[in-house]
Amino acid sequence: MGKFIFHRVLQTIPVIILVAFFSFAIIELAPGDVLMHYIQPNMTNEEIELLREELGLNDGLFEKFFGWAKSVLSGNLGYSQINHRSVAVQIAERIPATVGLMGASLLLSIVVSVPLGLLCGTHKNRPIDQIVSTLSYVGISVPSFWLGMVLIIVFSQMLDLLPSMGMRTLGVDSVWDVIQHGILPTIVLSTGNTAVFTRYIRASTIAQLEEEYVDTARAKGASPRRIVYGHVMKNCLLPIITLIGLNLSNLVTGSFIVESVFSWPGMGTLGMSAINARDYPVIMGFTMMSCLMLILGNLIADILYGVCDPRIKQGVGSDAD
Amino acid sequence: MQSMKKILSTLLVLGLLLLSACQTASDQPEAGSSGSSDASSSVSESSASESGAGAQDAAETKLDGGTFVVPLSADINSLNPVINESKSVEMVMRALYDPLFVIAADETRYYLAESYTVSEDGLTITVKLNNNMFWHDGVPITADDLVFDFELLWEEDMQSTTGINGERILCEKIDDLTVQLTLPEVSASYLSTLGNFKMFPKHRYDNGEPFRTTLENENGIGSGPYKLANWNRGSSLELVRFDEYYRGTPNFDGVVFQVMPEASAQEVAFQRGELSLFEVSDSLKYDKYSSDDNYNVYTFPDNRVSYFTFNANSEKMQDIRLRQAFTYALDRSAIYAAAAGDENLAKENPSIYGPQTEGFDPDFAGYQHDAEKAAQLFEELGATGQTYRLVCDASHLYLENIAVAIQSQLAEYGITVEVSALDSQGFNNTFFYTTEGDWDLAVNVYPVKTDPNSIAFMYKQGGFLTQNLFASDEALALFNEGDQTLDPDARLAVYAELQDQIMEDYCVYPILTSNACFVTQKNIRGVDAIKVIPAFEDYLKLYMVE
Amino acid sequence: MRTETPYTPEDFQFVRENQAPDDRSYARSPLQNLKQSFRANPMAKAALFLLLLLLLSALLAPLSPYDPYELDPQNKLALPSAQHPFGTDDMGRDYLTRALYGGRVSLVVGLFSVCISTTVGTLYGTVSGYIGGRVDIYMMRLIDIVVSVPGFLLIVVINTFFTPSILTLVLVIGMFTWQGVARITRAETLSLKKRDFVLAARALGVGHLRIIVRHIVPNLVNQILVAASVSVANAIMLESSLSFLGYGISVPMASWGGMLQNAQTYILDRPLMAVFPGIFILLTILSLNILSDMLRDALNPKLNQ
Repeated sequence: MGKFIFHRVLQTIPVIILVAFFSFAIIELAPGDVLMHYIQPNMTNEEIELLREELGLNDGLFEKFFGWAKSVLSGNLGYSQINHRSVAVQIAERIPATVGLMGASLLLSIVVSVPLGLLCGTHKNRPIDQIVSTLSYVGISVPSFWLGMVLIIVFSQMLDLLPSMGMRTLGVDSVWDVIQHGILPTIVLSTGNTAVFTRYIRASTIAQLEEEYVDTARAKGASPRRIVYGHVMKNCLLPIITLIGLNLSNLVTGSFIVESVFSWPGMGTLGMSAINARDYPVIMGFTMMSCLMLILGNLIADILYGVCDPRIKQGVGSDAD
Repeated sequence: MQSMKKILSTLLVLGLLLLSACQTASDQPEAGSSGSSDASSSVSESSASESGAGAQDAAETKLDGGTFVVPLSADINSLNPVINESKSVEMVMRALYDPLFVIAADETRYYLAESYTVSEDGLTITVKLNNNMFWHDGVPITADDLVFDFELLWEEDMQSTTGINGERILCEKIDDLTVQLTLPEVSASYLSTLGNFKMFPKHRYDNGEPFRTTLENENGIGSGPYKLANWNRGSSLELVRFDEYYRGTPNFDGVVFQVMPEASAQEVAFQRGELSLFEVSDSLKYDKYSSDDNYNVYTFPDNRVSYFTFNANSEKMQDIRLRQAFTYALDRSAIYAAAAGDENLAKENPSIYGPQTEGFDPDFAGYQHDAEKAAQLFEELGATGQTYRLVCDASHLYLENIAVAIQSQLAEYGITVEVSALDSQGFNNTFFYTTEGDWDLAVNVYPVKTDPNSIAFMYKQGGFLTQNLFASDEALALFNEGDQTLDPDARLAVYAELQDQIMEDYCVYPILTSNACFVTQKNIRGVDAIKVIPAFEDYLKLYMVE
Repeated sequence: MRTETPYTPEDFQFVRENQAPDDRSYARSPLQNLKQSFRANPMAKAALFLLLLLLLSALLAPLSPYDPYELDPQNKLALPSAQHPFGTDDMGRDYLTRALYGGRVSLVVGLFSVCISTTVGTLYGTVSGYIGGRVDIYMMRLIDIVVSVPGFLLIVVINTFFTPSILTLVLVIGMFTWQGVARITRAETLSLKKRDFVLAARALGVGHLRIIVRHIVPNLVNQILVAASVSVANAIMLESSLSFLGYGISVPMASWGGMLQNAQTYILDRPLMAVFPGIFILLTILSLNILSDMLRDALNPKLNQ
């Protein structure tokens, strides 16, 4: 087991190097002096020259890359060209909102899709199955930004039920308030994944029901309920971990789009405004953090899968879909 | 480093020019020079604007307290009063920092300064500060702060307030509350620049750190009626009433700037009562709110000129006849109609000055549309069938639509225009800060003040913002002449001549000036007390009724 | 059978003819399958009908009496009427006409970027699978790497360095979406290359590239088709999202995502402006998804679950 985890962790290293190259390219290709991205709010001119040396800006491309990598590893992602604040600090401020939104929507996807998928799988081609299957097609196909707009019109404007944007009401500092603000973004962000998961669970439920052990259980007199929840569900749930890993990329990009529709103060809005303002150090930090988030998510999903299913030693999940 | 200094010093220029907006007088000639504390009580007489009429009742009672919530389309970058870029930032700064004084068309409104005197030769200005003023951290505001500010800004290469044409202004302390400034040469426009200067505290900024990037810029310790309470990056900036404020106690307990990038999100929040006001930008909304008794609508001139221009560093644009051909080809009325069209929200404007600028000529004809001449010239110069790259700032109202209208008009002459609509920062990088000549045409907007010299930053040759414009030596000479002429009539004549000169240079093609149009909740008063953009010059004038 | 070198095209023909019966037996049953499942699937029928209708209307967009770029200041933000069935936009342009022209952009970007991604992916996948061994391992590892980076984000970042046009959109989307096809074709190639006809061609000394192009790829058509049909839907979604965020094609051209971005400003007063382009995107992607599912079930019975 330990060997498997070790291997899997090793595999992420080239990915991280690639991401690092790309991030470095953003800074390197950006117009203007690279040094401007690193000038700290309280530096004297001598210190700035020293920094130039340290970052290897007087050297060749490779030395530059290593200088850059060194400073990134020490937690220095540079400073915004616009508000001169540390990029690392700005990103750290935004991560909770984004991770919270993604976590909530993932949870919602699972909570909704598992029972729905089982229901459809056990009622194959019955009206309920057809309705849910059609809906899941729509769920996969609907553009999240458009769904967000429609929900704002319906729930905020017409029905006046939920706040349309932001994360907090002014002057209100309660968890309940944040939850209220999070309902619409979470629903929008989870729609695509819910549909994908539902379809997947439905398919694997149908497949599981044809397995021999179901017949055996049935022969032994187990109730259909028990078969479904005791055996089928267990076998269906495991692949979901892989599925989550595969859809993490959608979740990350989806959260950026949803954040900009709902002005959710997460990494997405930070990144989008940095992109619009051509604030390259922030773009770099944002790109790198999003990639790392995704890599980490994939890693966790793979390891979890390996832990849950000892048959898997490595590399599973890459060929699915 | 050098270029960064340049950028920031131009931002400073911009910022200061933004503040010097001062035109229409408020309805009551109050805000006296005494700095007394009765300012808040006299505002209750402020009357509603035309459109909001009827909503107000003489018998209504003024409420003490409440929160004034204003939407911002983007979070601000720093609370430094000197480095700021846009009118929404100015709105925030005005709550945190007071200027010295504001010179409007028919009055001077005093803030930090109790009075000022100008010597006969115009070279010496003595400013007397009010007594008993405090920074938000309780330290008294004195002449030392002003002297320090001038020194620091000069050293930081920010010369718009601290120098004239590159010559340093001497700033000396006379006593604890009096400062004497000695100008190197006469400048008619300097007084309003000085008046709009927002002091920042010496005891905070003498930390030896670079002015633009010091962490002090996040604290916003200022002199204004509200002080910083909480800054949630990217979502809101909360200010609370500053109790030791020298001009009296503000009515609202707090002012909150809520970051809401989407106009429609602002509107939803406004309708839910989460915002005190929001800005309207299209006729549909203007008509909707004007006819709704639950809201008040206020419009006042924004004094910004939206214009079309040519890149002086683009090889394609060097021929003045080509530029002339463009001015013949374009139909200003049609562009205006297509991009804006509603007289309540924007007006066609052929002049480089705004309607509130002294000496503004409402009959000025500007460039004339002549399709035949245009077609002929384009043909002659081989421009037909060519492609030009146009950049515009998509984050400002109307500009992208103006670009589309221009694109559509030029298409009729067989000219292809490739439009790049950029956000402010990206646009500024391309339009102002680089001289690569990789664009040919542009659509942008600039602020104009009461003083005609306020457009110098746009047109005066040698300025950082003018490096891509066809700014001529003749225009430069006229700018200098205008600023050194103290006689008002002679001065206005120079600026009229200047306008003709800029037109002859085929430098810019002015298109329209817009109005700022605010919709407020029914119980908000005082938004129109001083009809100036950037809005809310005096936060004391804002209050709520039952 | 002749065995001299160099080989002429005739040799090649010969081999191919020899192989033909085998080929046919593979090709026929999926086609029948396809027909059958299409007949049995009313949803697929409706999807195909819708898609053809959208395609046709985008093709015939120039027949509209309105110019999609002509400004009409007197008719801004008009409500739907007999003259303007979808109303007009903020510059007085006919909204239906713009939606149709917008469809052209979405469909062109969708189809062409998939051409690129399918070509790149097929080449990559077949070469990787065909060569096998260490090269295959490294090439697949590279795909794993590319997959674990959020492509959409990179496209947005890359777009900040260019002025977007249809061409750059097609290229960028194409270059970031080939991994799926590559994986599928590689897996199939692994089994195909052990088949008799490939082994025979190899024994005859036919060039590797030729084997890939003439023998392996034709046998992958079904899988590629299925993968491509999913990709078209994804590419259209990607294009709309980019346009919606303001990184799509530039003015005055219309695209569905761009129209939605613009509609956001007027959404409270003219919600229909947001409804029409959104419905167009939804219907296009929905039809494509339904059809690609049906394709997969029919052409690839193995995967049928």
